[in-house]
Amino acid sequence: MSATPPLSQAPPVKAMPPMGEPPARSAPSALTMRRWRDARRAVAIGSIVLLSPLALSIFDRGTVLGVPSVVLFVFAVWLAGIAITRLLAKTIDER
Amino acid sequence: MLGLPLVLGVAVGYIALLFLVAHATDRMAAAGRAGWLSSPAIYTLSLSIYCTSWTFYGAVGSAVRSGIEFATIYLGPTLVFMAYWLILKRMVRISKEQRVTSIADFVSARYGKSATVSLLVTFIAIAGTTPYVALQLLAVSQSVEALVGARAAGTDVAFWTAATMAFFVIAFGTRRIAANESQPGIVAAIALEAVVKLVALVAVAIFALMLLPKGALPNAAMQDWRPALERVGTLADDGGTRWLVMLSLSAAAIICLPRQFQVAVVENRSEDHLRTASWLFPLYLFVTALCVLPIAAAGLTRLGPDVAADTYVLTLPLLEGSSALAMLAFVGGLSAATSMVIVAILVLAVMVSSHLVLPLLSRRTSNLVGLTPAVLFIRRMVIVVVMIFAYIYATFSAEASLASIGLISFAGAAQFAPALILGLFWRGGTRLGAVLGLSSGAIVWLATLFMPSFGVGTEFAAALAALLLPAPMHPVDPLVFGAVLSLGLNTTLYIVGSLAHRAGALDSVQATAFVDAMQGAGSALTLNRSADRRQLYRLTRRVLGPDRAYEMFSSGAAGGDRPAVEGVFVGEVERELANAVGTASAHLLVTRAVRGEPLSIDAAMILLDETQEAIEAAKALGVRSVELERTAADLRAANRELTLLLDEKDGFLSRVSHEMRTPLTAMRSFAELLSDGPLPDDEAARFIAIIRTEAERLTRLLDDILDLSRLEAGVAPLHVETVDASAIARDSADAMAALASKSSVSISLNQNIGAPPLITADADRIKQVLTNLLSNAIKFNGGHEEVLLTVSSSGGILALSVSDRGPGIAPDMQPKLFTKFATAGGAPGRGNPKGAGLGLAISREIMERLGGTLTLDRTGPNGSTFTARMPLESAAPGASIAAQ
Repeated sequence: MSATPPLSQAPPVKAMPPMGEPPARSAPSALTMRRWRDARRAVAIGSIVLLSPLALSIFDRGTVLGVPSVVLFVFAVWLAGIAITRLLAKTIDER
Repeated sequence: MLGLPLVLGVAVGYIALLFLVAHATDRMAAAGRAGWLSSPAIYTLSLSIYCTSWTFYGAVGSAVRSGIEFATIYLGPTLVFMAYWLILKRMVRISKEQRVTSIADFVSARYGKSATVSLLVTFIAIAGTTPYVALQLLAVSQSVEALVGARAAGTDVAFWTAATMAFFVIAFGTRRIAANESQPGIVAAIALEAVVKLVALVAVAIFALMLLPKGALPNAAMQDWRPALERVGTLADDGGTRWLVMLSLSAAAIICLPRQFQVAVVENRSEDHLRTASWLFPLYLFVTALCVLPIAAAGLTRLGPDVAADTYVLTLPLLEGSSALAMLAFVGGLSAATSMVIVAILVLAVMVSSHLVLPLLSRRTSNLVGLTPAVLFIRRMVIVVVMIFAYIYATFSAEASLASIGLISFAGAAQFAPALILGLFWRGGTRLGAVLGLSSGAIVWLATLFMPSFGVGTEFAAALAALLLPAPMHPVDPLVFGAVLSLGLNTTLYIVGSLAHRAGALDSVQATAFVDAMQGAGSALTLNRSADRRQLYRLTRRVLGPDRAYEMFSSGAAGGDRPAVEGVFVGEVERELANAVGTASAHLLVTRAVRGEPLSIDAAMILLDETQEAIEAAKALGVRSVELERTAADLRAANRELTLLLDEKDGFLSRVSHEMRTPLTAMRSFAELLSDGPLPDDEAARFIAIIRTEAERLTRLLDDILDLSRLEAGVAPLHVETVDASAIARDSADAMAALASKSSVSISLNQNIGAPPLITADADRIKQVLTNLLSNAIKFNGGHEEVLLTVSSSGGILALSVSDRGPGIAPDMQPKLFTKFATAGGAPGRGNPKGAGLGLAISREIMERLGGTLTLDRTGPNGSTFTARMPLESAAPGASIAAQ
């Protein structure tokens, strides 16, 4: 019959395995996924704000290499939105 | 101009190719070899039926006429797909659970499978779609005219296009009764057309780009491409109202247009496909919109002002002598038109047969023998009738602008948005609200946008605008007025009607299934009802055919041979029937077959409450899980910190014991030698001197440890007063002169400062810091003769710097330089054979206690510089050491 070791005999903190450490190459945690989802929301809201008339009016002046600034701005925001959405779509596991 | 036989031959050849592709794909699917059709790429390509001939030809015209607002037509869908997780994913999931066959089915299913709602949606869809189909016929007709000129007279291109398309849809779209089953032939044809139209548009855009450097033609509309592009980049001067309205309409259209709902939701085979489409479909739209810019600029600089901008895609290559490219552009436009027509009339056929004709038939006769062929026949008839109407519309509205019909159709489809989108998130939306909202929005849309597009009731629309809007807002854009008024009234009455009327039991069940769809409530709810087995079997046999009925009723879910079947199976049968005839009709048919107790409100409410509680508990569990994970992350960080501290403590104890053991060992050894016997006097004196030196070293070490621990604990006495830093530096240099001289080093004091630099500090402690730094500099001066002590000030901060010309400090040593016993191990070339390695740790602690800092400013092969900084007494309150 073995007695329970006293508390003072507990291994030092350094010797204990790290608490809840995920195994190597595991699936992203719920917290990480939540952050990615927050990023997804930010992209959607950011795109709407950047494509609002107010944002466009800021760029509605002058040209760059003969192309109106507002055209460049709209297409740049558009392309950036697509690129970020692709990145997030590949990262976020919906299942 | 091209010859009419050539153009017609190419058109017929292309449509024949579509037939061939559809036929071959149907055969492959029957043989189980069409798995590629279920790929996300094909799904995305099928979404491109959004880009009709209005987009293909009309976008350039819109850009020339109205500037950058042409892009809104593509940006709206882009925003919806980038946020697919918000609405589209929910719609797809609900559609699969409810076996939805069309948008009318979807909206009616949300509001208790209401036949009234589905009827209203069907009527609005017919009104909005038929002119749009006509527009496509018109576009094909006009494109042929643009290519062959007057030779097209007498050839009714619109009629033959309509007839061919009707035949195509009947041949490939009405073979199966289950409307939510994929139509592989049609999907393949649409995917092919999506590629063809994009390739054609990109080819014309590249051709246009190559034309730009050639400059403008003398009789062209504009004489330089730069002002032409500026015209395309014009932003309407209306405060962004039209931009916002068009963006909202196009965003609503990608969900609410019946054909888009069909391809995006009903034809969706996996929710995962939405992830790919969320960026690939916006990319498709981006490329399409990008092509508009060079085509518009080249058209304006190469074509005369009399050439309609809507035809630039065709006329630009034609008039520049590239007949082959013009023909490719024609095929692209034909693809855009036909793909839209195919899906649009197929969807209308399903909606009309399920929501208009079948309910009428089922009311008139109770014995619907052979319902399957009847449903298919009705769909075929609807296709023919819609095509006839579209052809008539195209014939009598030949002068209509392409763009106006497209936008009016968008505004019509947007009337579904309040009932559809709010119904996904708001449990309180009811059937009455949906009916009031849809009917009021549709009436206003008809009066302000649809009828005026025929030239009917324009005065009424203008009078209504004059009555409702204040004078400063006149004249108002008709599209903005009609869209805002109809959607505003629609939404308001939807909310008011919903709040005024309590939902029925079935409405509540369906509301829960829709609103909680993402929490898995969609298919879990079942009404408590039973039905006569034989009667339900007969109904299923009539609608689905004997094979499918036998298969369903012989399964375990049917409950064996009992005379009555239970609610779960009744629900399953109803969903299966909905595949064929829509949810509203299926519900109507099943309700007539169901016997037994109707569901009481109380039973439904208990069912709903239980489901709600389960969902709330699941939500709370999710939140708790995230909280726990966050706490675990905090604990992991704290554990890591604790481990580091333990390492540091172990290291400290190890160093202290080592440092103490060395002098103690020496002292003990020499004491033993002295006690062993008489020694010569000079030798005994030398041993005693060693013992004294080691004892002093031990005392110094213990003093240092004590001093450091007092400083760290904040109990070391500090005598703070106003002192002259120059004097301290001078005293320190003088104090170390003897040690320096012993090592053949001189200390140079450099005072780059005017007035005496006064600081509030403990003079002895500052001197302790400086002597420590000077002592280190002398030890590690690498054999050079000079150590520099500099006193300077900048921005109210005093700096006392000690520089040596030694070999520098190794990079791996630098981070732990100011820790206890840091130099005991020593860096290469910079070991500390005499000190315990506590000097820098004590010095930094002193500086921090006095409100200053001690840093290593520079180190390298040419020496190192340590600097102690403190605020000058005369410094401005904002003076910051950190900024230095």
